[in-house]
Amino acid sequence: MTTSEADVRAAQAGDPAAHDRLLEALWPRAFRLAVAILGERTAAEDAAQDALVSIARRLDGLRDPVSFPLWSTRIVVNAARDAARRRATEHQRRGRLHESQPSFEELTLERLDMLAALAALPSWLRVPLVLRHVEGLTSREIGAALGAPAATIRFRLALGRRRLAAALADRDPDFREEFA
Amino acid sequence: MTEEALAARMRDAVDAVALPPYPRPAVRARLASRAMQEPRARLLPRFAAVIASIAVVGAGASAFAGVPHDLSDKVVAALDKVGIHVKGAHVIEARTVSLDEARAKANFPVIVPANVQIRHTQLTVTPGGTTFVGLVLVYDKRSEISLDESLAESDTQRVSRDRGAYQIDSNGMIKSSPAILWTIGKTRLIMLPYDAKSRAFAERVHRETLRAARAPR
Repeated sequence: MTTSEADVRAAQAGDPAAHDRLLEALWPRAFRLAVAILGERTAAEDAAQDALVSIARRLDGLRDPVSFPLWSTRIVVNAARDAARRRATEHQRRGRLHESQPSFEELTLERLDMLAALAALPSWLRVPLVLRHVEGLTSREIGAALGAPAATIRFRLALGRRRLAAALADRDPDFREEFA
Repeated sequence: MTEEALAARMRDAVDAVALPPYPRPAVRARLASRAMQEPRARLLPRFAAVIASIAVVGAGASAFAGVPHDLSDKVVAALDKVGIHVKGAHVIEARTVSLDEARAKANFPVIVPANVQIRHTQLTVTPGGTTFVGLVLVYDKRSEISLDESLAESDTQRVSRDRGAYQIDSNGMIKSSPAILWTIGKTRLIMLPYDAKSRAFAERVHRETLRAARAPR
């Protein structure tokens, strides 16, 4: 997503139109990022909305508008992680195992498999994968967003890809052949 | 496995998810509500708790207190569904006051739980003269939950954990949630926990209010 630095500055100066534009422009990215992390539409919508509200509230504290994309990514990721934690706690309380159950009527089975396999990865592997392959961030940027060294991120990415491929192969024999 | 093929498949799956429209009214309503709260306050739990207490205490009534006056249309519509009909003149704002002022103005004994941190106290008086006192309590370092107190219809001491309440989000979503409702003397107390931690805390508050009520004054 390209966020206008001018909009960030104008929103910080109190321009309500710029504020609106900024949040609306962020919405697709926030939602997709949350979907990739949570693997569920309703939870992703809630988390993306939480993130936008949080971004709007903290915008005044952002010193360098150039860093807005990475800064906002961190907030979206944190909102999605919080939502995932809440969901896991809720499932635990109800005595059910945490299991991702994507409910996307518009998706093909293959795409559902991908979202389910992604959601089943532990968060420390899933989040770097999503930031790399959905958001297109570098290992250094992911490290900055998650507070980890770039080398650690590279290790997590490699391990995450291996686990994701294995999980997909378990779900889909065609995939095993395709990527073997 | 090629890294690029895997990445492309991941992007493809995420991009294929239909994008919901940007929820402008909900975001605006939440920001407007937040603006009325103190800095660092967590809107949703307190907002939900206040509304839930009203839903339990005054279900069916047309006047109620403690709700920010800039309710979005969705929230008003949601309240309509649960039998609470809000009109502009009836929607009034809770006022932050000192505990002493709340005690002086309440027509019931305000019970303060022992060993619990109170962030602030809110007082609401409806046009009909009903007084509500909300103690915003801190737990788990930064989280907040409201303990709402009002005049009890009778002074029978009782506690209920299964009475239905409504948790209403700022975007108008309604979820049912069990409230903890209890009476001590002439004071009715209610809390609406929203997760496991807040529920455990609410149970502790229940015990601490009983302890406080028994303590010699």
